[in-house]
Amino acid sequence: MKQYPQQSPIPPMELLGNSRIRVDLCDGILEYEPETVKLRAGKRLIRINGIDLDLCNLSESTVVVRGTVSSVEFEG
Amino acid sequence: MYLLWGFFRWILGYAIIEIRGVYGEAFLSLCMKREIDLWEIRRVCPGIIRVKLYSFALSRLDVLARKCGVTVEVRGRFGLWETLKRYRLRPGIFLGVFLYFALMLILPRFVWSVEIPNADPVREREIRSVLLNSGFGVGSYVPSTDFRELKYDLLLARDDLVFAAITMQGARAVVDVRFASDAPDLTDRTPCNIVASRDGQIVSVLVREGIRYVAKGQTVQKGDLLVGGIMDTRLGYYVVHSKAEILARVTDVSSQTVPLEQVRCERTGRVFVRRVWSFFGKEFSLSFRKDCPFESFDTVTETKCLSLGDRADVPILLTEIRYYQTEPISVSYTAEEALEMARNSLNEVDRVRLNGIEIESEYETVTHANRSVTLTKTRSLIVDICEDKEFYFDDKGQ
Repeated sequence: MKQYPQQSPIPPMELLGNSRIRVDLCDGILEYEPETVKLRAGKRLIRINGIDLDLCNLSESTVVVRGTVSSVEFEG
Repeated sequence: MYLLWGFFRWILGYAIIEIRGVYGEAFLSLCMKREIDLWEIRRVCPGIIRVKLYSFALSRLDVLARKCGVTVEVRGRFGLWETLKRYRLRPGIFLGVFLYFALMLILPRFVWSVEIPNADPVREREIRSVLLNSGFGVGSYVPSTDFRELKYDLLLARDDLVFAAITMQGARAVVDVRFASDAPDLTDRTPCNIVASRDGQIVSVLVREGIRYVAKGQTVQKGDLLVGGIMDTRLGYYVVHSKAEILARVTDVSSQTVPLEQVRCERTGRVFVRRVWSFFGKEFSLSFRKDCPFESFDTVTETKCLSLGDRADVPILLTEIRYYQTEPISVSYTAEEALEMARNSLNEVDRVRLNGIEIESEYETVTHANRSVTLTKTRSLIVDICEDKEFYFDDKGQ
């Protein structure tokens, strides 16, 4: 697993086109619908909007979302 | 990489579960915290999330599900481990798999087939016989075979071989041989005359060595001197090995008699089949009865070799011997039918006998006698009638 600074305010993210997004240092899943995935990373909330989204992989602190991503929003 | 992960997960075994309840996301988050790997998470309908996870993590889900207020339903278990668990009460399957791998390890150490690609059928049989005498054949244990020794055995046993190599291609032994071409016989200096091998009229004379005693158009009888090997000169005489090519017109007569009434063996329709498995040269009969139950019969033998693909022959042969019961039946032929049979039979024989010989003319005579038809073919042939005849001298040189 990649090592990132503990105090990073923004979770590291990798976007592969608009079909796959990988979010590291993720603490949990707050909402999961085919159109929206809402993740918690520290004090930040990340909302991924798109079509036909599913969680491709879920490990200790990494979430991989697959589908057609239309936007990513940050809250907090 | 994805395929590799898929294979890894299949080896370890995985399960598909459905999480039912409104707090499915909380359950997923809790699984993350407890380091339970999940993949292919998909919401199939509101309130139901379908998830894949390793089978060994299933036991930890009950506590988490109770905490989150969801229910977890296992929809299926997959993978190698799950398959093995499913068939754990069937030892035959495991025994079969074990035997398969054991045979895969053991069988390639034996020779399954021996191929001799460059030899004609007669020489191939002789070479196989030499190899068998040296202890090499189908079923031989490869690691204990000394191929160099075998090669020398082969070369020593066969004078006509100039090269031999034995290579193993998997379980197939390929014996590569090269034969020496026959050298022309130039060393034969034995003094000899040439005499006529049959009666005929000389058509052409070509003498390479010796003294010619006949001319074109002359008639000779069998044994007549054609070319002499004693060269008489003013200084004395010396002898040579006579060489010549003397073509003569000869008469060839061949005949075939076919009786109008014959006794022929016909199949009655009753068949006895005997099957024999041959494994590494050892035969195992599949029939209890080893002898044929019919008094008169004819047999048809068919051998099938099991093979994997085009090149890999498995050392298992299935030989099927079919015994057809026959009984004698009297058959009558008309004169025309008998004549046709005689003509076919004669042509069949003469095609081999007169192969490469020039036929100048021919005519047929048919005779009917003693309830049979005889066809006689008289041909005028142009053939070489030279025959070597050695001569010897006594102590006095005569």
